Amino acid sequence: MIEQLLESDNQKFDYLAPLPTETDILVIGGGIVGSSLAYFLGRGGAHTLLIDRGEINREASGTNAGSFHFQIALHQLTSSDAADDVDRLLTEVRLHTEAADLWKDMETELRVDLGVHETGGLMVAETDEELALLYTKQKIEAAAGLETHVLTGNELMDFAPYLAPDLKGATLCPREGHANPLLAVPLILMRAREYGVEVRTQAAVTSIEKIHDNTGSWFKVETSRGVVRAKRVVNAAGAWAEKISELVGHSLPTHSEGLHVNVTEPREHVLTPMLQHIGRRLTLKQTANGTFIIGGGWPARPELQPRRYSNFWGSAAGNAAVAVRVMPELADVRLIRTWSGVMAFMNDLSPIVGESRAIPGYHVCIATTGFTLGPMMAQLLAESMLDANSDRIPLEYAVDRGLSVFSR
Amino acid sequence: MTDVDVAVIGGGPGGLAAAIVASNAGLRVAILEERATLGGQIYKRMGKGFHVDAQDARMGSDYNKGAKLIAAAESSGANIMTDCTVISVDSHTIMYSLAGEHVKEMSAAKVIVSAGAADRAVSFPGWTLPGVITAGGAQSLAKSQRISFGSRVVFAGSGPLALAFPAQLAHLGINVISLLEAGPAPRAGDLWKVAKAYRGNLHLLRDAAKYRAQIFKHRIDVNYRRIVVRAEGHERVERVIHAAVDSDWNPIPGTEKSIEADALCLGYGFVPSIETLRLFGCEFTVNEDLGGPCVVIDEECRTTAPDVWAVGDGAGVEGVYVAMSQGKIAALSAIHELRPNGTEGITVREINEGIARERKKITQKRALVGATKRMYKFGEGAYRLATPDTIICRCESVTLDNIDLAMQFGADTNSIKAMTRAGMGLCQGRNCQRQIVHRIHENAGIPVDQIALSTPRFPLRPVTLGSVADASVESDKFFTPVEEAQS
Repeated sequence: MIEQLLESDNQKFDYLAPLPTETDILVIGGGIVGSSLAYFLGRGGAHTLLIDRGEINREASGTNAGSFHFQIALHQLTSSDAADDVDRLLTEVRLHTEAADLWKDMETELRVDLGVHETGGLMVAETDEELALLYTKQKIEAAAGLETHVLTGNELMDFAPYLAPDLKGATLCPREGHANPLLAVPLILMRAREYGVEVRTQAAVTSIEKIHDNTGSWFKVETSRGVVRAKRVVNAAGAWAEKISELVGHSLPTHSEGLHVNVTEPREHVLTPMLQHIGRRLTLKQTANGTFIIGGGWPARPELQPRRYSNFWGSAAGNAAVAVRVMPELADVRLIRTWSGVMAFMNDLSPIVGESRAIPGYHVCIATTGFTLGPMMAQLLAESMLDANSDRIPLEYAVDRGLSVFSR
Repeated sequence: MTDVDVAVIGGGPGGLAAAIVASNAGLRVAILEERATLGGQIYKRMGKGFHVDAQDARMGSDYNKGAKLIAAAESSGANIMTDCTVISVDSHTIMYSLAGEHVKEMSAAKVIVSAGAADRAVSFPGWTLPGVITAGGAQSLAKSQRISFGSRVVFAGSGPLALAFPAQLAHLGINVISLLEAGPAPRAGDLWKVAKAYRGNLHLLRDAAKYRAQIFKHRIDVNYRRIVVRAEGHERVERVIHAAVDSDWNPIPGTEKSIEADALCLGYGFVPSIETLRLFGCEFTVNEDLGGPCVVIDEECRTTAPDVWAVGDGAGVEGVYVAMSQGKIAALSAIHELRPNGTEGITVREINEGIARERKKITQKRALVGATKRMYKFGEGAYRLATPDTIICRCESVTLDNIDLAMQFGADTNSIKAMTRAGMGLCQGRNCQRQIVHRIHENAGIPVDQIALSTPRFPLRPVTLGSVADASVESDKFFTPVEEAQS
């Protein structure tokens, strides 16, 4: 897949070239949000520079499993009854399906293979209570326009003979699938460059100052590689967005977690859909390479330095136990590596997208737990930055919505 | 209380020497060895089903030295766990699997890591053809099963092992037709330096003379300052193309020659097996004379990770005698920390004298290494032999041009790994990582010791999900909806 990067124009991707001193829009953060935003802004004719303190795509955007989860998941529920959160869930389900459409559209528009596949997804239930929950959430999903079916008994076994025979049931969502998180960002940036977007890595932001002088209002952004003058700034720094906001005097309480992922040796292809669990932490899929990627929200150590979350053995063991219970033939498949990635989110679990009212010209774009939502949130913000009359951004995503500070 | 006082990871000479000392001093010791038998690579036993007559002279002196060392370990009272694969380590904790069974946990007050070394992988066009084998692989086949791997064998490499291995292989009846040593032929000055370092090394010099005699006897064609630039053949090696090299092992154009052969054995030295020590969080440095990335150890072989010692080739490739001395030093040092007043088995004075004695032996061995440095220094040219379509990561079939392409997005091992999948396969980068680091060094001009290796993660060896799975971990701590965890 990496060969696609040669398609561009065979120029070097010189992200270490000297830092431009001036730009209309400075995007901070080289993840899926920042790169999509840079692409949409560039396409819209805005002079855009994207910077990252390290390499592109090295944090949440490049260290998640690339899954598109549309079914209502465990972590979205505040109680055992999905009906308690109907309004929020309706919005989220609709949003996710739109985001999936955008991924497909982008693949067409960018003329690259982002690895988008609609494989379908199964969310399994092991107990009667969990099965009841599947039925409840299926109704909400139907109301939101997302196609899901509850499969039980022989119907489930015929569809997915690899599942443990004692499962109570599963919902099938044909639209679920995945993209390639390792190459999406580089490929999007390759096309962004064709619109004149510049990218610089190893440029850590150390200060942001809003200046008002006879040339107007602008931001003086100091980085480890020099100073940039920008008319507008976008904070797309994910788990590090709070630190960036502090520099400009903006409060942005974000929360981040380390997540554990298990990866096996490649095996003959048996599993087409993604698997999830309504009551346990499990996501499981078999990649095109034949490896099984197993995760689902098991924690990694909450260390931010040296920028990598190390793995708990307990997460590997607990995650493996759920996976083997749901798909017994995994028991003799070998685990060959583990990784961990960071996940950033706001305390109300909603994205944060838009311009700060208190600091005009300062923008934030965080998709919240969202590889899937990244390009869509970027598109919303790009639209509003390119066209002052655009107002597609939902009010719930407002940058100054008064998020309370986390207490960990 | 911990399960053991001292856990020794690795049952080669360094680990065995450590375990014997610690166990004889009265400590509770466990040796965790992943192979079915003790002895490591140098003292490797015959495989299952082979019977060896103890008096059989053909087994050679290494075999007998190994047998003695193993017997001493077995009678020391240490708990010997063979077929025991270490899957993960954390502070004072080792996760291991015995004979492929479910992973268990062992707690240890002190850990001595003697993980040994692996063949240095060198990528050149044709290195993945069947019939190309590393020296260690060839030696394992020959030592444990008496299996030959070709009928016309070319041996290419450098250093003492490029002398010892062809001789050993020829002695076992393998037809080694040609030896290509990348280093220079010994000069009178080198021999004089070697002779001056005789003290404490007579047995090594005697071995070297014996190997030279073997090579002469078997009429192996010896070529100095030549390196394999290419292996060619349809479905397996048929020809080995070699060229003259400069002092940094860069091939000199116009000097190529070809040898018809059906096997090519590569011995460009060994690199320390560092994965366990990296997972412990030890600090590392780069010392190419000792095989590349080496754990930082103090005079008593302590690493920078609390209660973790590193000995033997896994702490820097210096051979069996240094390994055994280091093993003893580490054990004595651990005993002293655990029992500051000594034990019934050993007094504090004996501990200090033992450490001093072994340190002196190491100094003598290092004098000999210093004397051969001109001849045996690794040349970076070996890492410049790959062409754009040469596979660098065999597990994931990643070629050099793709690594160069990924490098444009960041001269960083993790970034290259993510974009190309190099290092994601079964060997977890053990073979390709050094080559990639060197490529970063060449392309981006970053010194090798400033290029971070990819993030260390368990499992240290592949392990079935069934033997990792532990349903009891599903505690509330993990199984908590995200929003509850926040409040």
